[in-house]
Amino acid sequence: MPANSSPHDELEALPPAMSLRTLLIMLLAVVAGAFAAGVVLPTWLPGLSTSLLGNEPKAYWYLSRASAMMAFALIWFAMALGLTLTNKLARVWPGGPIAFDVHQHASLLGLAFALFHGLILLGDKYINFTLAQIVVPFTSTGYKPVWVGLGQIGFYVMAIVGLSFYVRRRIGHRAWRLIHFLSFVTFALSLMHGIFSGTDSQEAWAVGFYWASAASLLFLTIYRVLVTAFQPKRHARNVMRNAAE
Amino acid sequence: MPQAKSAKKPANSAPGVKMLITAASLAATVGGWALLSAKGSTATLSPTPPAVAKTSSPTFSINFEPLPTLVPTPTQASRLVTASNRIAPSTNQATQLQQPAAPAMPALRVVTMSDSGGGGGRSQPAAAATTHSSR
Repeated sequence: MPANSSPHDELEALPPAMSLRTLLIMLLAVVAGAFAAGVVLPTWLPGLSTSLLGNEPKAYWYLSRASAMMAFALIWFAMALGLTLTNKLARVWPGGPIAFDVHQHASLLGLAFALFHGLILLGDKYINFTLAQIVVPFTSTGYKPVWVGLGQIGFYVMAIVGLSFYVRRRIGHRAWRLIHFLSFVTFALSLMHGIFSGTDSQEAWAVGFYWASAASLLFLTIYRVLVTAFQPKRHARNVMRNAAE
Repeated sequence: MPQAKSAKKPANSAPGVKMLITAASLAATVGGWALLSAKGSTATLSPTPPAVAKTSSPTFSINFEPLPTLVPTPTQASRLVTASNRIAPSTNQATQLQQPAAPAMPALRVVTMSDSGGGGGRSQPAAAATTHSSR
């Protein structure tokens, strides 16, 4: 999340919400689970897969859609918490350190769900994506390639932002803040990907969710900008008052 | 000293909240899967997908006449009767009635070919296909 000019010393002193080892194990488990469900199970146990999923196995498609919505919700939640950190609303509730901890956790969890959303499509024989088409942006040709490609780029940007938690002390606060500004790009790309390539984007609940998430983040961003704009004046006023005393 | 460390940690992290978020996310995903499956089983296919009908390749309409039915081959006796009828047609009317009807000449099947590109106003059969909207 973007931060103002004053460094958050107490937040910087906190360790990452999830250790790098835990994150890697979680991501590895997601990859293994998606491959097992999408590749190994239908190949080695076609009868079991068919019996579990019926004649037209749409489970992969449904799981991809459900996990995509969950990933988007987690990205939004992480963004909202991050903005409450920088605009000081988190100090009211639930407190800066806890909000920072949950903010990190939500963003990393959203990354894991976004990874699952892409990889589980390997099992869907209708859309028939290859691993290369899922991994490399703009290589899929069958289904809305532009919007799918934007979603893939959004995932990689989100990965950069999420993994920057682990190298924050190494790269410095300023670089980390600049990288964190990319989370706005992630949200915008995810929103466009969801609206223009999502199967459920015509549903009323999905439209409402997209509008509510975008509007709430816009409100928090404007509030944050206003807080930043008025803070230097207050700071300067305090300095002048101290100097006068 | 270890007591002081363990007492400080809960103030900076919220493991219960994180566990709750993780469990809720997984539950919502599985619930969404179940919801979409239930919704998909009741959904019907789109009757006329316009995009598929427009981009379909040239089609051929072939109208077959009904195939002629097979008639049993005449036996030796009936052939003899026919021969006698030719010689004396008026003498054996009863025998002639027992003879099976002569097989009709099989009519040629009419095959019409229409090209959608140059067919002009010819109607195309509606193609049935599954679209992404039906998924």
